Amino acid sequence: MPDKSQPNLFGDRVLCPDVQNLPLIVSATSNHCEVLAPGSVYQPLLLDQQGSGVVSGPGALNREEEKFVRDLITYLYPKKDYPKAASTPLVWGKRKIWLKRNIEKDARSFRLRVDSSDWYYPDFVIWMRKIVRKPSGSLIRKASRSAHMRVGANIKSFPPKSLRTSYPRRLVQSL
Amino acid sequence: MASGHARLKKALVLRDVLAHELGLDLPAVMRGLSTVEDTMTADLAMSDGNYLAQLESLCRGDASLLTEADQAVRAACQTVKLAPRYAQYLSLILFAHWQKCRSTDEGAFIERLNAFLTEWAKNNRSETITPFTADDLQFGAFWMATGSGKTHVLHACIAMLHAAGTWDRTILITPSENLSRQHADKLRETKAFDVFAYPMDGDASSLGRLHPDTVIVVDINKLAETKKGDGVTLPTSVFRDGRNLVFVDEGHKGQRSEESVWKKLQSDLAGIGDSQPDHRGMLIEFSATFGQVAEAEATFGRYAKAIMLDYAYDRFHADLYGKDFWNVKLDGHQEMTEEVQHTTLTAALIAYWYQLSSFGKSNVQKQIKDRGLRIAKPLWVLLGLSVIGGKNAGDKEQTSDVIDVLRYLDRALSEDDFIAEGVTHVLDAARQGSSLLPKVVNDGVQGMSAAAIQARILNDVFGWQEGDVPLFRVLKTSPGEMGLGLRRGDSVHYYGVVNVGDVKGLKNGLEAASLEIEDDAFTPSLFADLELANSGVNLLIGSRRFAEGWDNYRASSLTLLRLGQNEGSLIIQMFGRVVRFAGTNGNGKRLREITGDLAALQTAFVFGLKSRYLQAFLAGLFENGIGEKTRTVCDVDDWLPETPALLSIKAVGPQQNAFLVDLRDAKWLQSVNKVVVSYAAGIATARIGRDGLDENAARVGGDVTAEFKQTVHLLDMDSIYSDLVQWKALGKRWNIRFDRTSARIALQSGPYEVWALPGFCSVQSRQDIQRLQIAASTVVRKLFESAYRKIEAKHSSYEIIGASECGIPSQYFKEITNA
Repeated sequence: MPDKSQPNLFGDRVLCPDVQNLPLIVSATSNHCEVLAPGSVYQPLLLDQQGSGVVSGPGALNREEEKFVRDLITYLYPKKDYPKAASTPLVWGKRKIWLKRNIEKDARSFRLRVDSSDWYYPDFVIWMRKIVRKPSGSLIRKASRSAHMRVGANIKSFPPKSLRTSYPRRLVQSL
Repeated sequence: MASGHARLKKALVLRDVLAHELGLDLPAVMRGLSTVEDTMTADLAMSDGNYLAQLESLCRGDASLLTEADQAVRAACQTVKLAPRYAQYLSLILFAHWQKCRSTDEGAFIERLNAFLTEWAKNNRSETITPFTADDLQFGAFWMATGSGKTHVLHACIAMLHAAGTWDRTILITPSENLSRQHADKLRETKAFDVFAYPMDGDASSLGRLHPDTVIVVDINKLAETKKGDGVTLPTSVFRDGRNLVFVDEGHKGQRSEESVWKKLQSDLAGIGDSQPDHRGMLIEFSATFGQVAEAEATFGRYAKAIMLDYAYDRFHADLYGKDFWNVKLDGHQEMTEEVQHTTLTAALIAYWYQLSSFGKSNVQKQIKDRGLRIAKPLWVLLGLSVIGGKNAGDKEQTSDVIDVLRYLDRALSEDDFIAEGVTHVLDAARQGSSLLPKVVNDGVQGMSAAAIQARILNDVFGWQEGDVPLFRVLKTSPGEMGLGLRRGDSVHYYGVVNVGDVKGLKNGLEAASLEIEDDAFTPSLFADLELANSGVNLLIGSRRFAEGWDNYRASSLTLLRLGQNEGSLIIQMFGRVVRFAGTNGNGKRLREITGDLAALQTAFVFGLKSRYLQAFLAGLFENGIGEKTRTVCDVDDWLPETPALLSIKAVGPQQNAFLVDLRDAKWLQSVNKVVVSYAAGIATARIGRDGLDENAARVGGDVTAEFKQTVHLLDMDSIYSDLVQWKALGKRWNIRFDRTSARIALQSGPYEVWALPGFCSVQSRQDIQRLQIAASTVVRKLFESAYRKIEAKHSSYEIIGASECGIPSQYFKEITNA
């Protein structure tokens, strides 16, 4: 169904919503086209609502991709204390995490040459940074700035095993 | 740019001001009245005062205005014996209020209208509406879908206006003589009016003797400013000197050059803007396609200030009126046209047969009876808007399409397994997840073999018996008809009829296609036979005549023949014919949440013989608000952290001079990944229901690689090499080396697959070789590209960039389909 929060019986006006007030992506029952995804480096994320009469883009998430983001956030915040403020990362133990929905067929997006195929665009890019605790108790961030990049090197350790099956292509960058 | 429909909808200021004065929030009121109608049925909703009670409960203003309007509507409806549906009632309520305000204190009403317009314009900047004037109050309009009962509303308006004042004449202008007859008959049925249909009921001299309240029905083609010749043309001077009440039903139809003349005639007859008060009458216009009219005439403001309520197809259909609608588009490569057409026709034939078969089942008939449904025997209509046999380019294209269909039918009825082979392709595609059939049909044929389906189709659709021979015959007793029949000994059984504009033109086309055509001097009209309950005629191949005047509920499956662009108002009429549905006890509504055979009977299946016809058809529907798409662009919020600054990676391809791709050594094939070249046809299906447009896309075809490789020795390798050299030059790939042998080896032993519809690799003509030649060039090119990319990838490098440069979109879009 077209978004019932934006009804207009006689007209065709569809509003641009206030991003801050969008529903979070943590519910599987959401039938919204746009959602607020904690930890995402841009908002909103879009959901592909097949059969609803609503098409959105770029980068609308299919069901598997949507499930990955939803499960990641709900796994990290089982007590539902999701961060919702702008620029606020997700936190996983001693790491801060930012998520980017990678847009396909855009030369600016992250892409790789793999084999003889055309460009390979991962579905997501994830940044992780270690948080180091000073002896005084205040936090400092320590980025792993190794000289070479470890593209995909952390896939084995992240996301956690419980989230790893049947998810879409993703890539962890640790820069 | 929004369609005319969407633009006009947004500009309906008169509708908004009337609702405002009555204290009504229209969306809420429409929902409420619709519920009342569903609960009480239209018969009781007004007579028991339930519509009024609902309006009063939702009214945020002076409810006495509603009571007054309801009284006027009730009296008018009683006069014409109308039990209004909710949209008819609401239209008439708004009209009654408009009529009362303009007749009691015109000056004060204009002031209120303009005060509202000033405020309204602040929130509706897309259209500029000029202030209301006294002339605007002489013009009213009803925007109502065909089938939503606009004729009855028209009758009620006549009754209301006759009760409210005196007029010197009442004139109803129709688009054609045929529709004049229909209007006159329906007016007479009410027993409320004297009716004079011109020229059927008398000549021009009779007009002067008529009572002022007599409704004069005349079609627009008979009206002219001055008398022309000795024919039936009626000069408008015969209606001069007086205050005329003029109604126009679909008055915009016709040639574009004539439309402006017609508009002026209508306006002059109603005395709009006339300086003499006793010559200032009223013009009330009815149409299902005002959006397109306003767009064509650039008169959005004129209609925005005249339309009482919009109840066009989008809302009508969303209210469950008419059949559901499902279509499929099979979009094959041009060189596969015949296969694509045959596959489309076979799918359409199976879908139609399923409707016919469902209709014949005793349990379905019982359900129809128990639910009080009125469902006519399904009919497969193959329809275009041009003249079959005619001479212009559109006519010739439509004739060619008809001949293709007739050739298909001839083979279907004379070759043993022709239908079964087509059915096999369609069922195979369905098994691969690319169904050309609606789900209800797909489910229904589960477990049936292709041979069994063929046998049922031959029996049920064509009435075919062993030994029958297909034939085409021109019916001499019924001009413009050609019968589709089966010779059975000395007799002929007709299963279909073609509505031909020019028999000679069609005959020439059939002879060129080696199809014989005979004459039949005795058989009466098969077109008339379609109306009979036990008619054995199941196919109608038709043209514009069907779209305009046929009053019948049988059409259930539509296969589109030639359809051009910009035929929107005719397309919407064509759509109206096919989705027409009598519903339960004649309420016109389809049942909610129905599955199985009944669902097949309340859904119109639409196929396009060529995919562009379906595109034109859907575009016509979109222009009228059915499945209309609205695109909105919104800003993306960047939530990148400032600190720490995130970094990303940018891939950089190598310079061309940094690497060389040499394909002259056969070993290059060993490291190339498999490529797939698909000549399968794309299928797009769409269903418009209450929940919007549900579109799906898939492909149909199979792996024909083995057959393809067997044809390689027939191909011209020089030509393929030439194509590849051209590809290299166009792409400026100076660093790739290959020769004829590279191409030949790639075709013989390269890792590739070719997917296509059956018949792709058969070689019977020069065109077939050309088709395979193109496919071979494509295969080799893709293998070369794959090899090129593989080596290029080895030389690619990566740079570190700031995350803000890594392709975060600045905007996103939403496209919403309003059904």
